[in-house]
Amino acid sequence: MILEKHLPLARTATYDSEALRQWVLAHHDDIYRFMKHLTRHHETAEDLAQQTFVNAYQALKSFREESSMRTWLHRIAFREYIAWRRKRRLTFPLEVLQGRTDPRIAKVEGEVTLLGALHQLPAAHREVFLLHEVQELGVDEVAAVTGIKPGTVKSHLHYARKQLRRLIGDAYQEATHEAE
Amino acid sequence: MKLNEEIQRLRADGSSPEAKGRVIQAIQRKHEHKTMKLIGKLSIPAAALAAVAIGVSLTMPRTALASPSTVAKAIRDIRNYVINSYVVINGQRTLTSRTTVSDGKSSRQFFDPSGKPVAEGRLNKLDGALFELTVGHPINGEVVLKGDGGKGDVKLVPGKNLGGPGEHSVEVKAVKGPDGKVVKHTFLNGKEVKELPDNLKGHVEFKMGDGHGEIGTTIHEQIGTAKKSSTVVDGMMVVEGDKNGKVSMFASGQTSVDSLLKLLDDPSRWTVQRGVNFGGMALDKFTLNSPHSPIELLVDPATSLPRFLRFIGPESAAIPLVEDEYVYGVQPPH
Repeated sequence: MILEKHLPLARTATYDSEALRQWVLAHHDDIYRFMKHLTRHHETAEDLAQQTFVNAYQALKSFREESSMRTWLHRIAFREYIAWRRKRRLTFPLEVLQGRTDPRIAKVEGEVTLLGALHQLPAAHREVFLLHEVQELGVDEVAAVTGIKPGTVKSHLHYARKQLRRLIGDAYQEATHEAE
Repeated sequence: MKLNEEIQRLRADGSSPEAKGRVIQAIQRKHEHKTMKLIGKLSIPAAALAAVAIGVSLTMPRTALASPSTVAKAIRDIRNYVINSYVVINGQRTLTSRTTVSDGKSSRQFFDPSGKPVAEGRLNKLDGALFELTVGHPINGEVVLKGDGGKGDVKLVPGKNLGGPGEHSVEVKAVKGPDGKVVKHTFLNGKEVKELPDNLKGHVEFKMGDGHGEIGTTIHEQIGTAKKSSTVVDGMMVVEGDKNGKVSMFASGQTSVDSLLKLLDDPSRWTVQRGVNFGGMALDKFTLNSPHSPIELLVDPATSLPRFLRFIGPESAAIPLVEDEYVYGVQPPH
C-alpha cells in the first residue's frame, strides 16, 4: 500500500512532502466520511478529520503497526469525535422549534434517510454500525477503534439492525457486509 | 428504502481536494514549527547550517495555528483599530458606520447611503440597547420593537397573550441613561413587575424599523422552553442566546467586544476552516456553530487578529449581508 511504502519516510527526520501527500490522499476520504456521518456537519467533519491527521502525524513514531494504518487512524479520529461530542453543547435552531425549516436543510434531511434513522439510535449502536457497515471495518477492528469487546460490537450491531428495521420499515433489506 | 443502496451511497462520500490540501498544509506548518524549535536549541553555527540544509527560512513566522483563544488574546491585546461596517447587497458594499478604537476607547461615526456622515445611523436605531428575553412558554402575540435612537431608549412591546389563561399585555422598556447604562423595566398589564411570569415568556416577534419609520424586517423568535441557544440574524442586528437562554444583541459595526470574547472563550462553539481565500487573502474562517452558520469571523492566521466579521442571514429570509472590516495600523479618512 502507498501508506506502508511511505511510512518509513514519514517517520524519519528527513521530511518527505510527497510521502505526506500520498498518506493524506490515501486516507482522508475515509476519515472525513466517518466524521461526517457521525457529526452530520460538513465543516465539523473537515475540522475533526484535519485534527486527526495532525495528531496522527505527530504520533507516527509511536505507531507500532499492531493494527493497520487505517484502523489506527480510525481510532484517533474516534477519540477526536468523542472529545468533540463531550464539548459540544446541544443547540436547536429556531426554525426547528417553530416547525419551520430552512429549505436547504430540509433538502438535505430528506435525502439522508438512513443517516436520519441512524441518528435516532443510541450513539454506541450508531458508531458501531457506521464503522462496520459504512467504513467496512471488521468486528475486531471496530473493537480496536471503539475500545469495546468484539462480543459487544456484535451485540450493538444486532440491536442497531433491529432498530433500523423498526425505524425504516418493511423496505429494510439486510446489508451485504456481514459481521465477521 | 433499500438499505444496501443507502449504505453504498454513504460509502461513496468523500472529501474535497481543497480539504485534503488544507490538511497537508496544516501538517507542514506543524512540521515547520517543530523544525524551528529544534533549530532554536542548537548552537548558532549549527542552527544556521541546519536552517540552510533543511531549506527552512528563519523568517518563517508561524508559531501556532489561530484558535478561538489566540483570537481572543489578540483582540484583548490590540488597543487601536478601526471597524468599517458595510451592508452588502448583490455584492455592492455600502458603508454604514465606522468605529474607531483608540487606546481601548471607541467612538463611532454613521454614514448615509451617499457616504455623507450623519448623526444617527440608518442601522443603528438600537444603538447600545441590550435586551434580555427569558425562557418559558410561548406568547402567541406580537412584539413590536420601537426605538428612538436620538433619545437612546427602546421599547420591546409584546401584544396579547392569546395562548395563556387570559389576555395580558406585556411591555419591556430598556432605557439607556446618560452614563450609557441600560436599565430594564418590565410592565405586565400596565403595572411594573420585577419579572414576567413563566407562562408569558419566550415567544416573541420583532418588527424592526428600516430607519425611516417603516417596518423593515420581521423576526419571529422562540427562545424555547428549556435552556437553549438560538440565533437570529437581521440586517441590523444579530441576537445570540447564551447558555442560560439570555439574549444579547449584536449589531453591525457595534458588536460588543465583550460578547465576541465570550463566544470565543468557548472553542466548542466555533468551527475553523484554514486558508480560506477571501478577497485574495488566505484567512482562517471561524464559523459560529449553528445550523445556519450566521456568523463568520475571518482571521489573519499570522496574527490571529480578525479581518472580517460577517453576519449572514438565512438564505430564505432575504436579509442582506452585514460585513464588518477590521483595519489595523491605519488612520481612517476624516
